[in-house]
Amino acid sequence: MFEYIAAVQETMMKLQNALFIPLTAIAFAVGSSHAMAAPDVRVSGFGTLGYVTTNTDDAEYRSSLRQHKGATESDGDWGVDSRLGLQANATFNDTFSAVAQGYISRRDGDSSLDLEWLFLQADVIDGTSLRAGRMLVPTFFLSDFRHVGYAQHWLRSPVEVYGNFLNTSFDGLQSVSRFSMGDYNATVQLSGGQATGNKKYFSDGFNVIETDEDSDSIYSANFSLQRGDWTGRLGYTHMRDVEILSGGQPVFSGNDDFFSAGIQYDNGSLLAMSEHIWRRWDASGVQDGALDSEAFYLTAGYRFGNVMPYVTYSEFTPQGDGYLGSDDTRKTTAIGARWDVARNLAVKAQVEEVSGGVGDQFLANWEHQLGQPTTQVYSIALDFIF
Amino acid sequence: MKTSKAFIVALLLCAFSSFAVAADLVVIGHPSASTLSKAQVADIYLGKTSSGTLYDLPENSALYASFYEQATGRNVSQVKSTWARIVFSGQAQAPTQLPDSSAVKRAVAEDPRAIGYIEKSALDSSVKVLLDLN
Repeated sequence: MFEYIAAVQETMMKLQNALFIPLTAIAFAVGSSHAMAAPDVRVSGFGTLGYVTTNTDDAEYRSSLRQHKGATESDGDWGVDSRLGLQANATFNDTFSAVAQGYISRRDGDSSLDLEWLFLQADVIDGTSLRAGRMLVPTFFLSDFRHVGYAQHWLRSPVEVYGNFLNTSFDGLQSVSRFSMGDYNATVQLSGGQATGNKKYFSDGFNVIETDEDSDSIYSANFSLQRGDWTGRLGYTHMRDVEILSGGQPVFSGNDDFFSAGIQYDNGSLLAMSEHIWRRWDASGVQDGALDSEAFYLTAGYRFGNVMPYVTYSEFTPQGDGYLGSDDTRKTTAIGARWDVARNLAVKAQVEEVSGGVGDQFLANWEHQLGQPTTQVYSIALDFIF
Repeated sequence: MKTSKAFIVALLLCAFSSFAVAADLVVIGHPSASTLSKAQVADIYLGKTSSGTLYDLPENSALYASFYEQATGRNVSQVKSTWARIVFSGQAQAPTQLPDSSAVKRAVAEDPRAIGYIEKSALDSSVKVLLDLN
């Protein structure tokens, strides 16, 4: 654990360097065309220090298929949930601003620094912002701030739903328009560009197999409507000419579509939320529909002062035959609590039970997972912002 | 009977006073701004609608907690969570915190698009009351 903190400190330094160089470049680019005062720059950050253990040594639990190792009963793991982000927001004038965010977590085979956000924003029309650069793909409800544990009630977003779409960022253009009609606030977000790709890890029981994902382009349209305590959301994301490669050879080729619908109610005490997603894999020949799937979650929590117990149920159902193991539904039931111990600090604990088919959540022997074992996972996390 | 009722009232008062100090606060804007409903103020300060420049009192002050409790029904950690979501998704910056009511008043008086909140006792004609929280 102390090694982990030392590593975090070292990477913080790297993050600061990595963020300020592009930001300074943007400041110069914007500054040269507009005579102005020094930009208003604010630096902030978020992070999670989390520990996970389970009730089995036969399978490693991970929070994403992009993780190459996970937690077991005898090897509890600090890397499954721990992460750190550092962000700089720069406002140059009423029109131009920029955001840069560096992010460290275990994914794609290591825990190195990735650039998640780096965009220049222009507020050219009233209510509409145009962005160019690197941005997160807003596929689902929480995609924009999924790594910010402090901004969420649960310990981690349900992997049955959020594990389906693994590309977090893309390079391209985005528009964000916000309208108000009476008590209703609507947001329309349109994105287009090229996804930054990802690596997934599977196990055959002896070796960990790595796949790479490559795509030609990505488009995403998302609409949300909020009134008082209610928020509804519809989303569609299309990835064109996707190739999933293993050892450089394509395993799957096709177009990947994600549809989603979500609703949230939060009156300050009671929080209830649900999201349903559908994946459609459009390919020629036998691969058509191979990665089709459907998934949803339901979650509810109640705030008693600084403590908020919650329960979450989620399901993932494959509808194509491109998944490892059985094609029975995988289910996770989680109970947990968030405790706001200080203003910028929350402690969370969660116990969950994972059962059913499609064991790719775990790095384990296929035979073990085909037996559809029930696995309990115990997690504790410290979420903070600064 | 009367004493027992008074006792219950006193107990309730004790219970609520532990949550928030009921400070006398007003939401203020530039003299040219139009007034706001409580629901509008809640939406603005929880980042649901974008509008102008927002000013906060220091987040460790009792007035900050009291304002959000009265205007939005949310406690400090809920407010911090909400703004964490907005800031880290690149949508907007959190309200600028100024040291006290007179600093907020000065900033709001200068900017037609600014909104802030101050103690009622600090009010003067340089700004307009957009909403009285009491």
